[in-house]
Amino acid sequence: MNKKQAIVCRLFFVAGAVMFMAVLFWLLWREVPAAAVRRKILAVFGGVILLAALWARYQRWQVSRFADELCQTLDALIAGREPEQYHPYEDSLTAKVQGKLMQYYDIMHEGRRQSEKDKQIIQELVSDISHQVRTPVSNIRMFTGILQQHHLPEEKQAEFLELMEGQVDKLDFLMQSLIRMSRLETGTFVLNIEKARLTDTIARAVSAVWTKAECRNIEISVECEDHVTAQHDPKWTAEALFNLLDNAVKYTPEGGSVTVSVSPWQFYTRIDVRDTGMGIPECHYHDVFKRFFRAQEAAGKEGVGLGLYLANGIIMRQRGYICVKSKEGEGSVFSVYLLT
Amino acid sequence: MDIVTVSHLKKYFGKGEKQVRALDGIDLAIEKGKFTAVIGASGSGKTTLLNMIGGMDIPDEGEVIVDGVKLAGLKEKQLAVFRRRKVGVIYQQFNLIPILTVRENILFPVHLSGETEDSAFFQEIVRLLSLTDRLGAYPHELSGGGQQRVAIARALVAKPAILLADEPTGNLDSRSGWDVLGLLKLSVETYHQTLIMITHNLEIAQMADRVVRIEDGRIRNQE
Repeated sequence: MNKKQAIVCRLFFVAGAVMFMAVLFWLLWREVPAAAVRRKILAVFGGVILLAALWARYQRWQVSRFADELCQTLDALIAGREPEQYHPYEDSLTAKVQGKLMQYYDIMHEGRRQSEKDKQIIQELVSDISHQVRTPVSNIRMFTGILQQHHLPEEKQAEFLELMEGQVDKLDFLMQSLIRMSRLETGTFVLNIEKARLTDTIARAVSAVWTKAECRNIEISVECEDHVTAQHDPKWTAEALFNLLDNAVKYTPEGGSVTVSVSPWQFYTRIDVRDTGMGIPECHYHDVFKRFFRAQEAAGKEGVGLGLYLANGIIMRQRGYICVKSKEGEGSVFSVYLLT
Repeated sequence: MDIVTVSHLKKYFGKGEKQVRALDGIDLAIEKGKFTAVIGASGSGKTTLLNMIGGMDIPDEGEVIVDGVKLAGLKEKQLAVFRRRKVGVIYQQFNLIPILTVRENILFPVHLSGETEDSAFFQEIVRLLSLTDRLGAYPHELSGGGQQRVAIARALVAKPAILLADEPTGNLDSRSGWDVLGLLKLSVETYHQTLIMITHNLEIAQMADRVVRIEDGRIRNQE
């Protein structure tokens, strides 16, 4: 309401009150001849009006106090300090609105907290990376040193060069993984989530590990009906599944088998990657998805401990999740749940 | 930032020789926005702990601080407001009201506290939990998983900062259990809520950001 309207409103109110009083006096003088009775009625009436005025005044005071308290809360929040008069669980209007304000402030603050957390993650990442890179680099340095300083027979040289190549491969692999990870971590990769057929996605992942499995005489079988679809980004999901399959092949002894099976549920479609490998002890169920986690038992195998971490990240970004169930010595099942 | 801090929490039931130490000195801090799973055998004190955090039970010793407020310092009436605004609870046995429709069940806590419903938010939750076309149905017309989704929606509708779930999949077959868990995790992530879930199933616990193990009223090891 603007000022003009307020004035008009007030004028109407005053005019109404005056008219009402006039009518009242006229009625009293006409209907009640006894002056004493008239006075009493007038007195009672005056009392009622006074009470009403006081009540209106009180209401107004309450509203302005409510506004004051809210302003204080807002001032405190703007200045970044706790509001002084904050009783979160009082059953009052102020507390109710204050509570909501605090909630809003909290959510808005979440971004700042998140960016601080991100900074910390990047710091940890850098220290992890330097740690991972150090070993192959110092190995390469050692081999070049040997090759430069000693005159070795040709076959020995070839052996050292091969070892060096292995280390360079490791660095290359590490770098590829790191690039993927940094994209995942910073959220810069774009997911095109669509309702797509899972057979195609699985086929893409399986074809990437096929040769490796064949070399190790491991049979890969897929049980997936053609029509099953799920909401996913085929390219990235294939990447995640590839990481699971790569692990499965890596940790399964020669002659073992890896099975991929799909079961569509009401809300999620579950993709199981089952191997007949060494298994994961229950206490590591949680750890295997952590960045750079490598179990003692896996120390002999190649890898840097990023595969499952990446797979988990990719699936989580698609609002799905991954779980593991395993029996030591018998094998593991990694289950990917994608929204149907 | 910790949203829940529990220190030296003790709760004994009974007296003398028959005394049961449900909680025997628990210290625990739960980070805001994280999913914490509390695991342990039945009778280890998990539910008692959850009830203390939710302000539904009073400890014999020790204190519970939720979002900077000591629960012991609150009066009964304030505690009721605390429960209404701050926590949502999901039980194993759904606890839906049979004579109310799905919509009425979900909005029940909002109407009970005399607040107006945030209809856009209601629609969003209902869509997230795939209940849109079941709003007019009665609980008994839904499957177990469906009923639990209604219970989750009911817990979410007041936008509580903390969600407490006591074996939410205990009464469901494993398939709908995983379905419900996935949606539960999805909702708490969407609304930046803190989820504390009791379970005795390690497989389920691995979905959590952190696992707390309780044995005989004490915390064993934490991951």
